[in-house]
Amino acid sequence: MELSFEHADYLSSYDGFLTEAASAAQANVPPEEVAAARKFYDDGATDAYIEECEISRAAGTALLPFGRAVFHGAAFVWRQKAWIFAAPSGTGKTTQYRLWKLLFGDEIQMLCGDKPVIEIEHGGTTVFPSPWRGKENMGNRITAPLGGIIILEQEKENSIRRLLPREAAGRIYLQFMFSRKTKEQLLAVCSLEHRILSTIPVWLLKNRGDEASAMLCRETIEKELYADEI
Amino acid sequence: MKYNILGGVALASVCDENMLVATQKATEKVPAIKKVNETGAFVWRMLEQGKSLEEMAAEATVKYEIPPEESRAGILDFIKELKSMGYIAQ
Repeated sequence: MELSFEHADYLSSYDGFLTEAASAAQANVPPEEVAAARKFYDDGATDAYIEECEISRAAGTALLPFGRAVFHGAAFVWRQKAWIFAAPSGTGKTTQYRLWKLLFGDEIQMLCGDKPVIEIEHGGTTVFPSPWRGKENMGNRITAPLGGIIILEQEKENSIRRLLPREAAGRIYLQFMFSRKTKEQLLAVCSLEHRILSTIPVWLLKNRGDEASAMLCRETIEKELYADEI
Repeated sequence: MKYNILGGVALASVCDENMLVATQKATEKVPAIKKVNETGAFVWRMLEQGKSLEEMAAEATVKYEIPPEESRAGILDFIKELKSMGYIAQ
C-alpha cells in the first residue's frame, strides 16, 4: 500500500517496508484531519507526531476492502504461530512480552510491537509486521498464522480464562485501528472480527505484570491447545 | 409517536453478540460500543425502520408472545435507557 505524508519526521521507520511493487491501496492524513484529531493528544504534540499516530488508522481503513486490518496489540511468534497481547495503551503488552522473553528466550520472537496487520482469508488468519512497532520499536520481518489473542487486564491477582467468542467481541472490536468515519467501515470491521473470533481462541489474562502471570498464560495455552505434546 | 435515533450508529452482530457501534462523530454523544441483548437488537432494528411505539409494541407482542402492555413497557424502558445515553433525541 502507498502511504503519503505531509511531514518527514518519522519516515525512517518506514525504510524497511519500501517496495517498488504497485500499490493496491493508498492512505494519508490530510492537515484538516490532523487538526481535528489534535483534541485527542497532549498539549504540545506536533502536527508530524499526530500525523504519524493517525496514519495507522488511515491505513487500517484503506485495507478493510482487502480483508485486512491494522490491529492494536503486541504480536509475537511462538510455536510457529502468532500470538497477540491486546490491551489499551499502557496496560502491560510490552511488559508481558518482555516477561515471556525473559522466561522463554529463544522460543519466542517479536513480530510487531504495537500494530500488526491481520489478514483474514478463507484459509485462515495471518499476522504481518507493520512499521508501527511502538515506543520500544520492537518487531521483525516475519509472518505467521494467528494462534490466539490474549487480552490483558491489570489486576492484583493473576488469573486466566478462555473467553467465549461473544464475550470477547466488545474488547476485540476496540483494538481495530480504523477511522470510524462511516457505518460501512464499522460493519466491515465487525465482519472481519466475526470471522476471526469464529476460529481463533481468546483468553483474558488478569495479571500483576509478574513472571508468574507469564508462566500461567503459557501453561494455560499449552494445556488447552497442545495437551498431546506436553 | 416515532423516535429520532442518532445517525452514525450501526447495529452489528459478532459471534451472536449484538453491539451498537458508533462512528467517530457519533462518539461525541454516545459510547464507541454498547452491547445489547437480542430483544434490544430487535427494538433497535424497528427504531431504524422509523416505527412508532405502538407498531413496535404490536410486533414485539407477536414475536415474544407476551401481553401488549408488557411489550410496551419493556420497549419504553429500553427507549428510556437509549435516550439517557444519547442514542435517541430527547
